[in-house]
Amino acid sequence: MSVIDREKRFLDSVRAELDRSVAHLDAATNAQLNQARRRAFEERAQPLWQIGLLPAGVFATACVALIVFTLAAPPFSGREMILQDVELISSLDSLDLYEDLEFYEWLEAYEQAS
Amino acid sequence: MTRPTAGLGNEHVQSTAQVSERGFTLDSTEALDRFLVGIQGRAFRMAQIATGNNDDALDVIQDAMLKLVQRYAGRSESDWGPLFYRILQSRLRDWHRRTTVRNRFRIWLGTGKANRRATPDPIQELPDRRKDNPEQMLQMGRTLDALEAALHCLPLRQQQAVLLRVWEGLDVAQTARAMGCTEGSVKTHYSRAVHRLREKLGEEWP
Repeated sequence: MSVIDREKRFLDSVRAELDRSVAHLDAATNAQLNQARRRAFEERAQPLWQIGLLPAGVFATACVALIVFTLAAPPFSGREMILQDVELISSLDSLDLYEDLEFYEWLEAYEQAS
Repeated sequence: MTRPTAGLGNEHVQSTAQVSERGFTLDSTEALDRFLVGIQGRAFRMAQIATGNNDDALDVIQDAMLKLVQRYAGRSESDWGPLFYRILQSRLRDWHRRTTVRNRFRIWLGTGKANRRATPDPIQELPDRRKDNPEQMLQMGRTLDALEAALHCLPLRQQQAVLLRVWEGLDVAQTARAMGCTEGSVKTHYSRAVHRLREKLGEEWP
């Protein structure tokens, strides 16, 4: 058997095992996945003002976190590292852009490919 | 392969009527629901392998589904697959970043190993699949467990590349779009991942 054949056989087995694992997902997990899917459709229909509360809450939490972690730098790691982490958590500028970023990246790649 | 058959209930038909005022149709909602039914099992297993636990995997999947439904339901059906995997891979990377930052703060705040004995964190108490040994599992005849452990040992990018290429059947260009990287990177990650999997699992697997 050639190297290519051996690799193909190996990858076919990987695929078959993974398929088998999905086929044997337990009923509770399947129910949770169905529930998650239904919730996605339900939340799509929520009023916009309800969705707007979430970013406001996140922003308030991020401000508090920023103050706490800026004033109290840890003894073992640099203040800069912490500020970078806080920035990662708290960066909320242009939320709309970030929410659509995946789409813009995908669209750009898609258009380049085609 | 098991495909969950639950469709949209009455409450969804009602919400569809509301949403249709914004431009969505009943047909597109049903088609999107069918698409998600077909993909949810594999997506969950990918997230489970990446995160190492069911609860986080379910959260990631729910988040990815919601994002697809909210933002991209109006796009053509052929776009849903690449978009969904793009969102999923992005969410998994976010999960890894958040987990890393959270663990760093947990240690800094003194809630790491020292205090965990007093108040055990249920998530921390879950078995860490990275410690599983594929060779031992093979000896025990646990083919799938061995594969999962070997996949879990891979760095996230290699794991993503091999699962999208081998399991989802995406080509290099599609995988690059889903992972948000170049085709060259996909080839490198994929090649290393397959090599390491074969190394871990051995010539005789399965």
